[in-house]
Amino acid sequence: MLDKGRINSIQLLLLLVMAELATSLFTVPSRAIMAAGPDSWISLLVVTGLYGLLVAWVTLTLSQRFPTRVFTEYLPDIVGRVPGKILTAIFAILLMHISGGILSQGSAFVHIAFLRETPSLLLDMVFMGAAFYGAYLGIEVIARHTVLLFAFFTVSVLVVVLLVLPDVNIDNFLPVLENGYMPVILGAKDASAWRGEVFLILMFYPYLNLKQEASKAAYGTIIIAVVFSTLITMTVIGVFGSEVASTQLYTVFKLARYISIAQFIERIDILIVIIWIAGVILKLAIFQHAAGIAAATTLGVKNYRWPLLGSAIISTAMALIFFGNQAQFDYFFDKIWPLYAYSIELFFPALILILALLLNKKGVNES
Amino acid sequence: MRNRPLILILLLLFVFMNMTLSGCWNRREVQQIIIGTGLGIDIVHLDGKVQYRLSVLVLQTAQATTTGDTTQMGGQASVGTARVISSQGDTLYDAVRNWNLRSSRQLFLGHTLIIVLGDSITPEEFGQVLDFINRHKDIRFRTLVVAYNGKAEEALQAHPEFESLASMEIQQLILQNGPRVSKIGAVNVFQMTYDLLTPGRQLVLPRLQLVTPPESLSQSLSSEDKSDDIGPQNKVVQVDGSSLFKGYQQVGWMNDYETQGMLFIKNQFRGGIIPVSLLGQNYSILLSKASSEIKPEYNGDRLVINVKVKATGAIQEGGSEINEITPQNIRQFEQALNQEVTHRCNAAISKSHKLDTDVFGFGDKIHRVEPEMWKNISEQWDEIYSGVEVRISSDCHIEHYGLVK
Repeated sequence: MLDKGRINSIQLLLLLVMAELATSLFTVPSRAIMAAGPDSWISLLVVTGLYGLLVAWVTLTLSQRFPTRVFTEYLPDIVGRVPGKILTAIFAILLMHISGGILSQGSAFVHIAFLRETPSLLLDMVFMGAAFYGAYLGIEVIARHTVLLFAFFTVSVLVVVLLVLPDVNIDNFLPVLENGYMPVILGAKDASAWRGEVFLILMFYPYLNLKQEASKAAYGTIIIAVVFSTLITMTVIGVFGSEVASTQLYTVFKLARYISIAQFIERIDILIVIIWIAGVILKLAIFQHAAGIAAATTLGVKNYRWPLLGSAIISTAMALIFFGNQAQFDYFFDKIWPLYAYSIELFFPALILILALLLNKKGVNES
Repeated sequence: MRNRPLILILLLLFVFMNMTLSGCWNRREVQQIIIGTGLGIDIVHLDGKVQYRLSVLVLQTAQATTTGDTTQMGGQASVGTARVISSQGDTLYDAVRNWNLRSSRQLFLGHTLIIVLGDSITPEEFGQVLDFINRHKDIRFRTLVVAYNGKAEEALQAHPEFESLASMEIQQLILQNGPRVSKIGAVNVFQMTYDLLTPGRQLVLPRLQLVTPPESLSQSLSSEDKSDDIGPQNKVVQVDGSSLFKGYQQVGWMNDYETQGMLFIKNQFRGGIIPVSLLGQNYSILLSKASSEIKPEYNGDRLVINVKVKATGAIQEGGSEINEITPQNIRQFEQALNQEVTHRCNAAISKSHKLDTDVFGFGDKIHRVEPEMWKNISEQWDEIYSGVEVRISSDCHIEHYGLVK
């Protein structure tokens, strides 16, 4: 364990919640609605919830077997030294690649909707700089920042939802289950990928001060994330209807822009931008911390700060190379990301868990 | 000072940032922009090529107002604070950017209040206009859309009577006063997109008209003036009736009587006067709290759509002979009122049947409440719509009769 910080279960819970919601809350509704129409809130409520709980269970069970070490530290113990090092290296690179995706998503919104002439690279550097600084200071700082941000995040989302409530048209939720259950299951395809980001508990479990509260944090994360994303998706469907919502790139932003109470409370869409930028930086910091630790344990260095710098640079480069234009980016999130996410979030940890159970590897007698 | 190198690096960073970040890339200072408050979109043909003509009602800049020939009263600019400037291009955005060929100021569309669609827009171009409006980062979903039977460029030049801007006048007229008369169906960009994209719905836009004020007409008639020669600058705006679309194609117009019927059916009637005639006298009944319910029904082989309109009103004006209103004859008033409301609704329905466009969203309603039925008829809904029977039943109540007994 390279970071000596300690966090409590509430901090871990909110950290995972923010990692799940920071970007997905604003991008997932239109993807889900595109696939499942007016029923997409059911897919978000039920299907992604179940998937999230499954991921939480697998990763939590695995983490509980090795309570004092992070995933990349005990992985070589289970699969052997050389394959273990190769797998942790891949894991670290994938975390950096996901960071690249988050970064690109974060700066794309600002670039497309506001600062047209500002180069994406500059936005990327600003975001990554802030995230790197957070990760550099360690898990305790990130956790405290999360608590602060979560309060603002919740208030902003609730304000947007409440103010736009007069425009909700109940007819937009009908007909329920028009094409049966299949679209509902398929509608969860994209959203599940984000809900599974609770797998980060693999990299954050050892920092928890009271280990018996871990399950509360893991399952609580999924419940809070599901409630938030269902709420916002229902609001989007209720106000815009599935036909219009599925054509909009940043539906929740448009939702905030649509607020108009008596032609007086208007133009509060900047709230969404603030929590978007703050959320993206926080999520990046969380992923960077995980990636930096993963890289450091792979390389066997004692100080994770240098690998962290490398990871920040690699992630920024990946954001530019793999997510260069919006079409590439959308293609990735439509076609590749779900399968990619399922394998890293569920199948890979599940495989390691099964191996650990079969080989009866445990880390309880570690100090 | 443990972290001396770090502090040094940070200090250097601040110095470096100060030099490079002296301003942001996207700053748009208020002295560099001009604020567009109304957009007019027309199609013109230039050498056989389709050209978009964008007319923008802009706020006059302070300099232009002081040096121009406009009147200024006590520092507060009055009439003439706005003017219409138009530009042209192969596409709409081309027109927006061609604006810069003749203007020293950037066009800022974040405060666009209304969009006026001229009648020269054909279905293909309308699709492009819709896309432009939705894709543009500054134009908001709340921006109102109106149709004008003529050149939108002209409509924006109307003389504002009550506000400083014609666009603001149209916006306030529709949003604030529209519900008091319920002869205007307000449509904003979002609702336009919604109606065009949702299956089983058709678009209806409020109709903007330029009229010569009757007051000035009576003056000019005496001095033998030709009212036809009055330019749009001397006309005032009026919104009444609506423009009906089928898909992206404009197919016809509704007058305000029919529009009111449509608003009853679409549950958008918010209040207004319904004149009824009873016992040889005319009465004004002020309706408020109207609501409607649409229930599609499939009995045997016929599709019937039942529309139930409910409203509460008050008698606000009577004839010369004051009839005592008793519990018995108030029923007669209610019946007359029901008849009148039904008549309006039927007028709207027969117009929409004649133009063969489902402006009430009956198809959408069937889709939502009877999805199984919709599966069978959705393909041919456009063809069968004009043959579908719509039954209106009205249930209006009179609550009180004003200050006269």
